[in-house]
Amino acid sequence: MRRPNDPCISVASQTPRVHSDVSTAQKRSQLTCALVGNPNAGKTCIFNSLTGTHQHVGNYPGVTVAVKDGTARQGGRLFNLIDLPGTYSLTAYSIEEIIVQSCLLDQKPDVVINVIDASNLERNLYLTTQLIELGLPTIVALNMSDEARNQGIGIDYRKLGQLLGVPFVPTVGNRGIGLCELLDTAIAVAEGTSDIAHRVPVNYGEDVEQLIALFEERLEAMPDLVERYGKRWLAIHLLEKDKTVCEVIAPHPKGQEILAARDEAVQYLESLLHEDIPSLFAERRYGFVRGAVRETVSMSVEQKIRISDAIDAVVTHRLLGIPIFIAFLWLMFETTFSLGEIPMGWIESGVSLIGGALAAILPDGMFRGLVVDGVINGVGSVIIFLPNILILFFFISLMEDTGYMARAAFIMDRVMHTLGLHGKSFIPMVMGFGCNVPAILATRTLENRSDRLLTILINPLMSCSARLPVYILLAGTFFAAHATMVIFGIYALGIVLAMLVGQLFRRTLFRGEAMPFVMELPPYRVPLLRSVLIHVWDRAYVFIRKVGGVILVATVLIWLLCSFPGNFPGSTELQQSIQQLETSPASPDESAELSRLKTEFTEQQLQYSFAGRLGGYVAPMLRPMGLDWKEGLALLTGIAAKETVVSTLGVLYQTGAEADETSEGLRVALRSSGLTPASALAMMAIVLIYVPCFGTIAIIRRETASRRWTLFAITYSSMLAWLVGFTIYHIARLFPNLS
Amino acid sequence: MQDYLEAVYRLQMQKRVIRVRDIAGELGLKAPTVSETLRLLGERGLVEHERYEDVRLSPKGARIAQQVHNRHRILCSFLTDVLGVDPETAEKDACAIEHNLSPIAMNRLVAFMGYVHSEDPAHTIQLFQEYKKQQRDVFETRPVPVKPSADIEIRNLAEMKPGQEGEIRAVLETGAIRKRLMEMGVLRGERVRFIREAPLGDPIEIHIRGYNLSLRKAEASAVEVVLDRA
Repeated sequence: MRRPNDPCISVASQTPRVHSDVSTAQKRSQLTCALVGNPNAGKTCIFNSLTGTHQHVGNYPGVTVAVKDGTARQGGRLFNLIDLPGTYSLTAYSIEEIIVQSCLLDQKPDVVINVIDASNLERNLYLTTQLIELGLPTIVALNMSDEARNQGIGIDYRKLGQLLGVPFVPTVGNRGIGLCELLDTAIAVAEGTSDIAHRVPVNYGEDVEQLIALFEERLEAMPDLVERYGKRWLAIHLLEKDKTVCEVIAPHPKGQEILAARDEAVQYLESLLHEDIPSLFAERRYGFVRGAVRETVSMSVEQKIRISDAIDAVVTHRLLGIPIFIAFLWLMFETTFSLGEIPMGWIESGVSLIGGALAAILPDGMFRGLVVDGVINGVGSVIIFLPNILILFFFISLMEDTGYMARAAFIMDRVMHTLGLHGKSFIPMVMGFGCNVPAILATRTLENRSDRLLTILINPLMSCSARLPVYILLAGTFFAAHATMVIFGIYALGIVLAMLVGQLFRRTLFRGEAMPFVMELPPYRVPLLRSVLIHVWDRAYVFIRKVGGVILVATVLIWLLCSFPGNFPGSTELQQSIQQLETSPASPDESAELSRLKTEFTEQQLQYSFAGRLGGYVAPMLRPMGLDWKEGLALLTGIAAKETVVSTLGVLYQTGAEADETSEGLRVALRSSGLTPASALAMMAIVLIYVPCFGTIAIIRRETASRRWTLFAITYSSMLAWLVGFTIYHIARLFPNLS
Repeated sequence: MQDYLEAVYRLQMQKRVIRVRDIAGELGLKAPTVSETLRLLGERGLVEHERYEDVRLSPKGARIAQQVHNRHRILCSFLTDVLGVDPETAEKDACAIEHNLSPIAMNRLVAFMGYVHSEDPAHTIQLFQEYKKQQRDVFETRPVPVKPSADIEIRNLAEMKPGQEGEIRAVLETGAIRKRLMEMGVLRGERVRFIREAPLGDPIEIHIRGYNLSLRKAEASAVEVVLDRA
C-alpha cells in the first residue's frame, strides 16, 4: 500500500505539466479509476502494486468473471480502483467485453487507465482507439517499458500521446515504477488540468464517416441514449452491430426503423467494398494505430533473436515439448500432493491433539461431541486443503507469470479440444486427480466464461485421491487378483465420462458460446516473487474466507445428522453392558466382546439417526444395483469427504470405525454380506461420479457465483451416477462369475 | 455466390419457373455444383429452394441480387457508353471488373456513372464521344490481354510451413471467430510468419504485428495467405 507521503520512484524525466489555474477545475477528494487493458498487459500487476492488500475480489453479479476493486491514496485523494477483466476490444460480444463495456458506460469512472504492453504496441493500442471513442477521460500506462527498451524498441511516448490525444505514462508495474506519475496524471486529466486530453478519434475514411454522420443524425431521435453514450460512439457501435447497443436501441419507438436502416446501409456498403463492416472498422483502427506507431517508434536495426523464441524452440519443440511439459506436470503434481502430505500430517495430528485435549477437559456428552467431533473436525477438514492449495497455486502463478501457461495450453489444446475444452483446462483437469478443490480454483486461468464453467462442471469426474481408498477397499475385496486393473478402469471411466459429458454440455448448454482458440503467446518474463505470493495469498484467502465456512457448517451438519436422535430403542441396555465390561478387568475374551458391543452400539445408533433414516430413503434407489441402506448411508456420509465412505462401511459392517481400506475384517464382512462383485463395481462407479464432496460443492458455488450452476452440478452428477451404476451392474451381471 | 444470385435474378426476369439446370446453363457449371451452392445460399436465407423444385430468391437475396445486377449494368454502361466497347466484350469485362476492382474505385465508378446518367445523359455521353475522337489512337488500339499472374502462390494459414512468410489475402470466416481474429490484428493485407505447429499437430503459432499468436487449424484454414516467393 502506498501511503500519501511515500517517495515516488520515477523513470519519467517529466511529469505531466499541470496548469496553475485550478480555479476552473473541480477538486475532488475521491476519484474512481477503471483499469482496462489486454490480457497479459500487466494490468493486474499495476493494480496490485497500487492497492497492495487493500483489495477485494468480487464476481460480477450473475456471471463468473472476477472484478477486483481496491483503494490507493495519493495527492490527498482517495483512488477507488477497479480492475476490469482483460479484453482485446470494447465491442460487446464475449461476456468479458460486455462487463467492461457496461462498467465503463454505466459507472462512468472519472478516469480510464488503459494499461498497454509497450513491447506489443500495435495490438494494445487497438483497444485504446476504442476507449478514445468512448469519450471518457483516459490515460495510458505504457507498461513494461523497460522490457520494450531491452528489446531495442524506442518509443517517443510524448509524441504518441499528442497524436492520440491522451497522456502516456511509462510504467514498470511489477517494480512499482511510474505509478506515482500515473496517479498524478489521472488527477490532472480528471480535473481538466492536463494539456493533452483532446482525444483524437479514428477517422474511418470518407465512405464510412458519411455513414456515421448519417446515423449520428438519425440517432438524435433518441436523446436519452445520445446523452448516455455519446452520438458518435452510438453510431459506430450501431454499425458494428454491437450487442448492447442493438439491445438498447431496439425497444425505442424509432428503434426498429433505425435498425432496419442500419442493415440496409451496412449491406450496401459491404457489397460495395467487398468487406464486412466490422472488419472495415478494425482495418481502419489498425491503420490509424500503425500510422501513429510508425511516427513514434524506432526499432533498433537488427532485432536480436529474442530469448523468448529460443526458449520456445525447446519448450514447444515437436518432440521435446510434450516430455518437458509432462515432466513439469509430474513435478507439480508430486510436490502438491506428496510434499503437501507432510504439512497435512501435521494438521491432522494437530487437530486430533486439540480434539483430544478438549475431550479430556470437557464433560462427556452432547456438547463434547459437538465440539470435538463436529467443530474441531470441521475446522480440520477445512485447513487440511490449505497445503495443497498453497503449493499448487505457487506453481500456477509461476506458470502464469512466466508465460509458460500459454505454452501449456498450446501443447495440450489438441487433447482438450476433443473434450470440448480449451487448452488451458488441462492443468485444472489433471489437478483434479489430486483434489478437485484446488483444481476448480485453478480454472481462474481460463479467460472465457463458458470454457471455465464447463471445466468446473466436469472436473469432479476426475477421480480425486480421496476416492481411492473406496476403490482399494471394494476392488481389493471383490477383485483381489485384478484390483489394479479395476481401479485403473474406474479412473479411465471418469476420463471417458468427462469427454462425453464435456461434448454434450458444449453442444447443448454452451451452444454458440464457444469462443475460438485464438490466444497470444506472450514473451517469457522473469516472475516476481512478490506478485506470485500475492496470487497465492489471494487464492488461499478466497478459500478460507469464502469456502471454509461452508465446509465447516456442512461437516457439523453431517455430524448432527449422524448423532441425533442419540437414544435408539435398547440403547440404554447396550450402554449398560458396555459400561459393565469396561469397569471389570479385561480378559481377552471380554475385551473382544467389548469392542463388538461398541461397534454394535455405533451401528444401531447410526441406523436410528436421521442420517440412517436418510440412508433408508436412498436405499430403494440403490436396490436395482444390489446395494442397500448401508451403502446408501455410506454414500451420504461420503458427501462430507469421500474417504468417509470407508469408515462408515466399517461401522455398518461391524468391524469398527477404525477400519480402513486394507483391514481384512471389513473385507471378510463385505464378502459375506451378500454383496456381489457386480454391485461392488456399481458402487465404485457411483462413488466416482455422484455428488461432489462439500469442499467441491462450496468451491463450485464460489467460483461459478451461481446457485443454479451449483445445483446443476449436484443434480447432473447424481443422475449420471445412478445411470452409470445401473448400467454397469446389469452389464456385469451378464458374466456369471461377477454376479 | 453473388454470381448465382445475379443469375437467378436475370432468369427470373425471363422465365416463370427456374430450375437448377437453367442456372447451370447460365453459369456454365455442372448441376450438382449448382445444387450444393444453392443449398448454402438457402442456409443463409438468400434463396428459397427445395430439392427437385424451382428456385426463388428470398426478399433478402433479391435485394442483394438487385444491387449486384445494378452494379453490373452500371459497369456495362460505362464500358459501352463511355468507353465504346462492344456489348459482348463489355459483358465479359464487366464480370471481370466486378470481381477484381478495388472497393473504392468501384464506389467511385458507381457514383460517377450515377452522375453521368443523372445529368443530361445524352449530352454527357456526347462529350465523351468528342473526347474519344481526340484520343483516337488510344481507343482504336486493342489492349494487350494481361496474363493472370499464375506464379502467385496462395495457401491458407494452416497449410504453411515453419518459417514461411506471406501476406493475408482474405479472412473467410464469420461471427465470433472473425471478430476475434480481427481484434487480434489478423486482417487483410497484414504480413504473417508461420512459426510452428504444436507438438500434436494442432494448434499453430504465427507471428503477426510484432507478437506471437496461436490458433487452431480449423480457424487458421479460413485465412488465405499469398506466400512470398522464396
